[in-house]
Amino acid sequence: MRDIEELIKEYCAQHLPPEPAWIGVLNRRFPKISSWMDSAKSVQREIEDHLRDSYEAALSKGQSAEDAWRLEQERFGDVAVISREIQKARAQSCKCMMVRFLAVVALFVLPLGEIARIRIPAFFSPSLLFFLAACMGVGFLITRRRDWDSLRKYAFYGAWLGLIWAMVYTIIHVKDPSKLGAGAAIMLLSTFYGLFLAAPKSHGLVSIAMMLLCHVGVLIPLARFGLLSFYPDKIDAGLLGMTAALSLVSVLVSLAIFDIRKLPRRLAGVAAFSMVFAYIQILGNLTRSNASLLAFIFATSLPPLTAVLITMQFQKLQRLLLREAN
Amino acid sequence: MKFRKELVGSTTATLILSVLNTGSAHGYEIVRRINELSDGIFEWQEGTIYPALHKLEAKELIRGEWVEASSGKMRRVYAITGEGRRALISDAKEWSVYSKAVESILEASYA
Repeated sequence: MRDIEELIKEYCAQHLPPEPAWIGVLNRRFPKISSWMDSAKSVQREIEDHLRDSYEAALSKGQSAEDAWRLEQERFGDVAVISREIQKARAQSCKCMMVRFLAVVALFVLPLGEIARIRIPAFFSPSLLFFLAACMGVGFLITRRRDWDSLRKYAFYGAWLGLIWAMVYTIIHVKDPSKLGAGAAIMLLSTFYGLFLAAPKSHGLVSIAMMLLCHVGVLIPLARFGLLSFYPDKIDAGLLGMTAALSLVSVLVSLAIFDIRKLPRRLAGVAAFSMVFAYIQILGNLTRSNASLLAFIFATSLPPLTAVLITMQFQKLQRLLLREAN
Repeated sequence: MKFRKELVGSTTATLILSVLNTGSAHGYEIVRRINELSDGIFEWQEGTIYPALHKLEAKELIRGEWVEASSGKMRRVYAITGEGRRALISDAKEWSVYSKAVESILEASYA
């Protein structure tokens, strides 16, 4: 009988879908980076490990090498079908994560877009649509499964590229206010188009809606009192206090009505989000009054953090009660 | 004994979670522990565990990562998350109520 390593490798190579050429290049040039990027490789390695373990266990029970290998193939099942199922599960998870990320980004750039006064006709940007279509087309051509689902998946990548491009553009032109609007518009539009094209097929629309609601819950009070403005001249103690209270209430209310078990994690996300926003405000207003900026940081980050702490205590109590009840 | 596909499918996630609740393990180890604990009653097609593991990972009920095993080789090992533990408690409770109800109906029909 031939070496088992060889047999397993050959068996997997026969039954698993071949890797696309560009992944092969990545694997050879950047083995460390590509090992976590390349889910197909990871799945193959996992299956190979299983086959090896099982084969060795059968040998240790006294079976002959041929019998052990034959039985193992029967016991494991159809490798190609199993690999496809795994890839499907992993793709759904990636898609869900990307939708969440894009939803956050969309909400982050919305107020910027509002400030830059993006007009409705600007939403129908032919060049951006062309850019996204090109990304989808390239994605479609390089994937193994050339179907509508994978086409949609690449709308995400297009949106990401558009977003990064716009961020770089905005950073480069940060000193020229006339260019900021255009940068914000591209960020907003690429994210919007990406979400629009990909979201209907992705999983977790309910979670996107939840996330939208919770972030809007924080942003609306902030925007209402002019705190999202690039110029923090309007900040005063009364408004800050009211904003803090409103954002705390809105976070708690918008999240508590959904899934209490996920509260701390989501609240931590909101807290991080508002803190990042506050830091961007600081960077944009370095020469302005330090006192008002510090107050701004507290107003935006403290309420969600307080909410996290309150909720964690509440959760502990809930777990205690559950344990008692069981 | 061969079980129907639907019956196995509906309990796979709970079985995996309960095995991982006793400690992290890789795919083969999970199958082995399930076989051992069930006295060989579950004769699964071993490969079917992997799609189930990846689905549970997507739902954030378990976490999988490549770690170095004692042999020096990298292995993908799965561990249950806090969310997974809560799901397991709720699944176990549900299963207990459901199986008792089915059992009492069956007993009544043979009595």
